[in-house]
Amino acid sequence: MKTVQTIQPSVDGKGLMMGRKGYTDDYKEPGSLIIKILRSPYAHAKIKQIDSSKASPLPGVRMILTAADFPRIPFTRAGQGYPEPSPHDKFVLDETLRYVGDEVLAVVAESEEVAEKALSLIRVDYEVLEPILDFETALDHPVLIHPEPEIKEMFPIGFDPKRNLAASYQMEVGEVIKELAACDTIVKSRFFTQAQAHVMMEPHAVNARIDYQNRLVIYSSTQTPFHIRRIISQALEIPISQIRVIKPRVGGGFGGKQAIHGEMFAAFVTWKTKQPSTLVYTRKEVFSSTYTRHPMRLDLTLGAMKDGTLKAIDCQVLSDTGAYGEHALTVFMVTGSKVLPLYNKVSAVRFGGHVVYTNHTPAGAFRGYGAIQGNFALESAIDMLAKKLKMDPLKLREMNMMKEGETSPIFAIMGEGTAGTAMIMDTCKLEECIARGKALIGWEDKYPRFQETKTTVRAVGMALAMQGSGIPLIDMGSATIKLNDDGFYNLLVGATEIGQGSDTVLSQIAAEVLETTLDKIIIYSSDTDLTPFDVGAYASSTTYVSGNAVLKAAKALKAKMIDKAAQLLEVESDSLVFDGTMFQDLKTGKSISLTDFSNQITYSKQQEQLSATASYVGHKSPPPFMAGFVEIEIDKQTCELSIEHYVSVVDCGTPINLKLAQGQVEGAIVQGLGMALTENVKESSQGKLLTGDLLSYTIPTRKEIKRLTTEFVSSYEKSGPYGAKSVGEVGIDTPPAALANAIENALGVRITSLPLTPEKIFFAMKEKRSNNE
Amino acid sequence: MNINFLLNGTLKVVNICPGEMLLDTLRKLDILSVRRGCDTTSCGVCTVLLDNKPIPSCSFLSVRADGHAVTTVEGIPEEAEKLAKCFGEEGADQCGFCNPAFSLTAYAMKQEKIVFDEQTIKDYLVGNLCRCTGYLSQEKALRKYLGVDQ
Amino acid sequence: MLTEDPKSVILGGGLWLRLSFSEVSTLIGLEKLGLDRIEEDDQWIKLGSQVTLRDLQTSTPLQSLAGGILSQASEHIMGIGVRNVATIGGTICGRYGFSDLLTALLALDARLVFFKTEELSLKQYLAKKKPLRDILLSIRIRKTPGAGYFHKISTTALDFAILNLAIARRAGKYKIVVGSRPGIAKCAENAMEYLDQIENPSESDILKATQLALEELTFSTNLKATQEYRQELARVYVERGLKAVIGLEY
Ligand SMILES: Cc1cc2nc3c(=O)[nH]c(=O)nc-3n(C[C@H](O)[C@H](O)[C@H](O)COP(=O)(O)OP(=O)(O)OC[C@H]3O[C@@H](n4cnc5c(N)ncnc54)[C@H](O)[C@@H]3O)c2cc1C
Ligand code: FES
Ligand code: FES
Repeated sequence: MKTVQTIQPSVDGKGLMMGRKGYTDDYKEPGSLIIKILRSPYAHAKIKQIDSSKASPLPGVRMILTAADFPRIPFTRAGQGYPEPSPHDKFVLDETLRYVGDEVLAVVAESEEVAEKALSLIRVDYEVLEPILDFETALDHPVLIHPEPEIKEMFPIGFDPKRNLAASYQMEVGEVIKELAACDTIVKSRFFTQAQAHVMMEPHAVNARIDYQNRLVIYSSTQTPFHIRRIISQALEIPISQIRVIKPRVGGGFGGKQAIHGEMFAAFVTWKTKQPSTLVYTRKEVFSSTYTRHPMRLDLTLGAMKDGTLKAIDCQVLSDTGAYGEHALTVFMVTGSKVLPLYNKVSAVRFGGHVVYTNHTPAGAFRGYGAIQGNFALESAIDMLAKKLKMDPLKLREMNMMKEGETSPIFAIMGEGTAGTAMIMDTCKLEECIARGKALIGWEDKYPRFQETKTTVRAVGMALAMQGSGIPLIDMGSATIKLNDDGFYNLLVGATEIGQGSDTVLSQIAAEVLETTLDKIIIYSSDTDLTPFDVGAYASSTTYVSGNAVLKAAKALKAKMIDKAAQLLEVESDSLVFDGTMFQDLKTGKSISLTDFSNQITYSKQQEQLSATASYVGHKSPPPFMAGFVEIEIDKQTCELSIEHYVSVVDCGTPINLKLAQGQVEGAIVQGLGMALTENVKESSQGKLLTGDLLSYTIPTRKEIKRLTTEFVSSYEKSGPYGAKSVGEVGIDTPPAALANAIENALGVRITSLPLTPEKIFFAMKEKRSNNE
Repeated sequence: MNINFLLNGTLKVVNICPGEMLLDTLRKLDILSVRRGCDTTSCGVCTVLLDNKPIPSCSFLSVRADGHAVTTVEGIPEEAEKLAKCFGEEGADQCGFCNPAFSLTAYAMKQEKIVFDEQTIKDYLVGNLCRCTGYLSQEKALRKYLGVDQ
Repeated sequence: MLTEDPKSVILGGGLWLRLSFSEVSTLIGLEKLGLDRIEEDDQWIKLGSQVTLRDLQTSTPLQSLAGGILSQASEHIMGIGVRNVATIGGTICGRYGFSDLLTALLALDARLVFFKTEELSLKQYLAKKKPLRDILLSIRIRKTPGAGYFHKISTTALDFAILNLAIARRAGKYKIVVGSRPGIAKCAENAMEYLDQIENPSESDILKATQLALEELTFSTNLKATQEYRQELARVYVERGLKAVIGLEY
C-alpha cells in the first residue's frame, strides 16, 4: 500500500465543493444573541463618558458591555504557547483606545437590526490624544501608548513600555565592524516593508452556547483552539475545565486566525447570560481590527572581498507592532533567524533592533512571519552586491550559501523568545534548486534582460529563501488513533486544518503506517474535549511536528494490534506480520483478516479497545529551502509590470502529498506577489484606515497570475515523517526580492521599499534620468 | 412582504423584509453553501445563479428574485461532484470557502456557447477571488471539467 | 412617483445603490418595461437602460462598433456576477468618476433618451451640475464605422481605473476621452478639433494633439496615483491610442 508521496485528493474537498455545512457560522444556534462591537474612530483617545441611555431601552437590547464589566486582567491575544513571548498588554475592554478600530464597547441584542440601531444611538465622549503614526518616531516619543501599570512581560523580551518598546534584541557573532573595515566592497542600504492584510476569504467568526452539562462550548474559526481555551479561561476567570473549543472547517487563516478575536466576547456573553451568542466580523472589521503583517525598516550592510567572498552581514531592524505587542518579539527574531543563515560562511554577523508600539492596527502572525521582510532586504542586497562586484548574482549566491551538512551559529543563538537550537542541515538542496530553476526560467538566455521593444522590456530576477519546521522544544503535536470494528480507524488530532490540507496529509501518514487506504482513516480535528493537545497551525509546524506525532501513534497502534493478534492466534508476536488487511504468522501459517480480528476483539473474543496516543516535540526545525525565479515584462514608459512566469523549486524534504504541497507553494507565491506589487494597508494622516474593503485593498486576481511552475527537488529529511519538512510558508518569501531584482535587471533602478508599484518605478526612472543629465 | 421563487427546482414562498439581500434570505432557508466574504461585491463567494446566470447574492435584493429561478450548489450535486473530482486530482481545493461559488460559476460557464480558452476562463471567473490556491490549479481542474484539458 | 417623493430611487442593477445605501423610501423597478434589449436599425444602435454590462460585453453589433470599445470597457469591469447585474442606466445616472463605460460612451457620442426630458447627448448630461430626476429609458449610438481604442490602467483586474481612455476615429472625426483622472470622463476638445482638421495626421501631429490634450485636461492625486503619474499615463496612452486608430506603429 502506498498513500504517501502519491497523488491523493483531499479528504474533505468533495463535501465542501458540494456546499455541505462546515464553517463556524454554519453552526450558530438559532436565536443566538448578536454581538456587535463599537470601535474607536480615533487612533488614540480616552473614553470620557458613554451615554447609552437611548440604546439600552430599545426592545431587544440585552447588554451593553464596557470595560467595567470585565475583570481587569492583562493578557495577550497572540495565541501562542505558555508562557507567551508576547507582552500581556491588552484588556478585553479598556478606557484608552489605541487605534482606529480598537474596541470601545459591545452591544448584545436579539437581532442584527436592533444591534445596529443600538450602536447608532450610543454617544461616546472621547478625549482625543495625540497619536503616534510614524513608527520611526515612536521610540522614546513623549506620547506613551501603554502607561498602564498592570501590563507585563512573561519573561525578558526587551519589553519597556516607558519607551514605547514592546520588545528589543541584539546579537553578534564575530566582530562585524572589524570585518567590514577589512572588506573590499560594502553594500549598505535601507529597506522598508509595508503592512499586509491576510484576506482569508472567511471573515473571523465565533459562536457559543451552554451545553446540557452547563459547560461553555465555543465554535471558532481559529488556528489555535487549545490556546483559545487557555486564554479565555485566564482573562475571563472561567474554569478551564468548563470550556470546550471546537474548530470546525476554517476558511483560510494564514496566521490571521492564530490570535484571539471575538472569542472573548462570545464566551463572556454566553457564560453570563447562558444564552447562545454569535459574532461574525464584517470584512471591514477584519481589515481594521484584526491584524496585519509587521511593517519594518531594515538597515542591511554586507561586506565582501573582490572575489565574492561574503565576510559580514549586519541587519538592524525597526518593527512596528501597532497598538498591541502580539508576536512583537518572535516575528522580529525570525527576520534574522530564518534569513541570515542562508549565507552561513560569513566571519561575522550582527542582528538587532527594536519593536515599537504605534497607534496602528496591531501587527500579528502572518505566513512568512518576519522572514519575508528579512528576505526582501537580504536578497535585494545580495543582488546589489553582485552588481557592484560585476558578478553573476547566482554565482555569488552559490559561493556563499548554506550547503548540506553545514550549520550556522545563528541557529543556536536565536530562538523565538528563548535561545535557539543548534542544528546541522541534514538536507539542503539549494544547489539543485538553483540549477533546476535556472533551466526552467531560461536564465542563461534571459539574464539580465531580453526581448526589448520600443516600449517594453523583459527581464528575469531571483531570490533564495529558507523557513523552519515548527519551533524546536516548544511546539508540541499529538495524535490519538483507534481501531474500530470492521477494521477502520479514527485519527484524532489537535492539529488544525485551516485549508492547508493537514487533515489529508496526516491521514496519509497514518494510512501509510497501517498499510491501508485513505478511506479507512477517519480524521477529526480539532476539539479541545476530544482531540489530544496540539499547539495549532502555525510556524509551519503541522506536517513536521504533528505529522511525527501521527507517525508515532500509528506505529504504536500497529505494534499493539500485532501483539493482540498474536494472543488471539496463540502465536509469537515476533513472527506475526501485518500487511494492512491480514495478520499472518510466518512460523505456523496461521492467519486472521483485519476485519475478523477487529470484529472479534470488539464483540466476541478477548474484547479490548485498541488505541494509541503519541506526542512529538521537535528537537530541531529543519528548514525547507527554495529558489524563486521570475520573468517580468515592463513598459518602459509607464513602468506597468506584468508577471510572465514564476518558477519555484523547493526543497521541503519529500512531500507527503505532491499536489497539496504544490498548492501550498503556489498559494504562498501569489500572496507574496501581492505583497510585492499591489497590497498595501493605507491610512489617513489621522490614522484612519483607507483600505478597509476589497475595493481599495487589492489582492491578486486570476488575471494577474499567468504562469507558475512549481517543482520539488529530490530530498529526504531523516527526522521528518517519510522524509518531509514543512512547506506552508517558504513559498511566500521570495517574490518581493526576486521582483525587485528583476526590475533592476530590466531598467537599472533599485526599489527598496514595498510594494514595488509602477508609480515608484516611474519616479525612480525619472530620478535616474535627471541624474544622468 | 412575500416573494415566490424557484429554489433549486422547488417553489418557495418566503416572507422577507423589503431591503433584504438574497444571501440572507437563502441562509435563513438553511442554504448554507452561500457565504459572505466581503461587504462590497468584490469577492464572489456569495455567487448564486439567477435564471442560470451567476450573480452576487450579497448585493441582490431578494425582491428581485421574485418570479425567477435561483440555483445554489445544493441544486447541482452531480456537477459539483464532477468538478470536485477534478479539483481533487489537481490539488485545487484548500480552505474550500470559495468552492461552491466557483462550482456554480463553472457550471454556468459550461452551459454558455463560448470557446473555453485561457482568456475566456479567466474572464468568466475573475470575480471569484481565492486567497489559498494561487488560481492555476483551479483553472487546470476546470479545464478537465469542461473537457478542454490539453 | 419619482418626481413627487424625493426619497424614491430608481433601481438599475442596484449594486452601487447597495454600496452607498442611504435612506430610501421607495425603490422603483424598471424590470417590466422591456428596457433590457439591444436593438439596431440602419443608423443607430439602441440600448435599453436595463441592459447589463455582460450584454454590452457580448453583443455582436457592439463588438464591431468602433473597434468594440464599449464591449472592451465592459469586459474590464469586475467579474461576471457584477456584469450580469450592473446596468448601463445605473452607470450613466450614477455618473461615477472612475467609470470605464462613461469614457467609452462619450467617445461614441452616446445620446440619452429620458422619460420626460428631451433627448440629449451624454456630454450635455454630464455637464449638468445635478443628475436629472427622471427615468433614463435608452441610449442611442450612431453606427458610423471607424476605428477605436480603449485602455484601462488599474492595479488588478478587479480594481477601479487609475486612468482610462477611449479614442475613436469615425468618419474623419476624432474623440479623445480620458476618465478616472480621477474626475469624471472628459473629452479633450482642443486636441479633437486640431486632429479633425488634418486629413492624414503624421507622428508630429499626434504629438501635438497629445500635448493639447494634456494641457486642457486636469489630473489630480488620490489613493491610487499621483497627479504627475496620471498625467504621464495620459501622455503615453493618448499617443498610443491615436497611433492605433490612425494606423501608425508605436
Ligand atoms: C464592486 C463594484 C466595482 C465596480 N467597478 C467598476 C469599474 O471598475 N469600472 C466601472 O466603470 N464601473 C465599475 N462599477 C460600476 C458598475 O459598472 C455600475 O456602473 C454600477 O454598479 C451601477 O450600476 P447599477 O446598475 O448597479 O446601478 P444602481 O446601483 O441600480 O443605480 C445607480 C444610480 O443610478 C440610478 N439609476 C439606475 N437606473 C436608472 C434609470 N434607468 N434612470 C434613472 N436613474 C437610474 C439609481 O437610482 C442610482 O442612483 C463597479 C461596481 C461595483 C459594485
Ligand atoms: S460576499 Fe463578496 S461578493 Fe458577495
Ligand atoms: S480555497 Fe480558500 S479561498 Fe479559495
